[in-house]
Amino acid sequence: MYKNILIPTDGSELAGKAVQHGTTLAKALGAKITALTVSLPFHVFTFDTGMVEDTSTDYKRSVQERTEKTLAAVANTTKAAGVQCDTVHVQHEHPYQAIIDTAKSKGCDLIVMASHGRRGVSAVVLGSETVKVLTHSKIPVLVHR
Amino acid sequence: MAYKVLVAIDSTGLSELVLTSLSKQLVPDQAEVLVLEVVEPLLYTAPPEMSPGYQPEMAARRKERREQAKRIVDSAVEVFRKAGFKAEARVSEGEIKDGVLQAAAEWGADLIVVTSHARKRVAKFFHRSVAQAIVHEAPCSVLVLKELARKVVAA
Repeated sequence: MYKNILIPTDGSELAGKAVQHGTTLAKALGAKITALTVSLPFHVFTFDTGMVEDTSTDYKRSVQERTEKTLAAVANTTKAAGVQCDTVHVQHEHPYQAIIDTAKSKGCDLIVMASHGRRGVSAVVLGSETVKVLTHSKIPVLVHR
Repeated sequence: MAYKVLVAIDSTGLSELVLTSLSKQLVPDQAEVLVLEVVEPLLYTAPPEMSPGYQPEMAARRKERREQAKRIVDSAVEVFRKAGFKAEARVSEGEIKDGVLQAAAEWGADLIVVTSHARKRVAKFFHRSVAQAIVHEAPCSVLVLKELARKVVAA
């Protein structure tokens, strides 16, 4: 039976639904939740509009604010359901790798994630990070739609 | 209303992983299970003059494969029924991805459970992951059980 469920979230609406679904599952199984947000390190040369417009300090502040808001929302959801939850923020070039590494370091036995995140707009195509997690994960992955 | 779980199994021995995992995680009176195996059609090439001679043999092989699949899904259904689930078995013939997605749509599945075989990169290039293709096109959530997770699930 799953004991520690990793739920990566980027704060998007669909990720929020995956958090809700993962919380319900964790409650039913008596499992705990490890909620994770991953942010990209600041780059001077980038196509990311946030990084192009911001200075390093501004970028860090906005990432910090978004992370706190996202993880607080997860903490509220899990608290309301009476499920134990740890929150983790990781900065990594490759979000999928951060997800897999965190699952390993925190001893998670299931990953619950949305079919696509902030970047995905199509309901047909899977998010690129979801595909990479599915491909490289050695533990079960529940893709929420 | 019962949560409808479509369990897609194959004859590679991973079925055991699916059964162990699911029977521990689902609540019998809240979930309804459909165990499905999609048998891929036999593909062969033979010179036309050989076809008449090959035909009966291929028909027998097809029948044998369907019967083998039926035995596998029936034994899986038995495991779920013993655990208190309302469960039914189904065997269909066709491309695996299409068969699973069609059954999920027709039956109105809330969750599809599939296993993923850990293929090496080269093999993956030639055999695109069926599990991944199902996740791509599924109308509902999909639980992908990894072959390497066998120990995790069994623990």
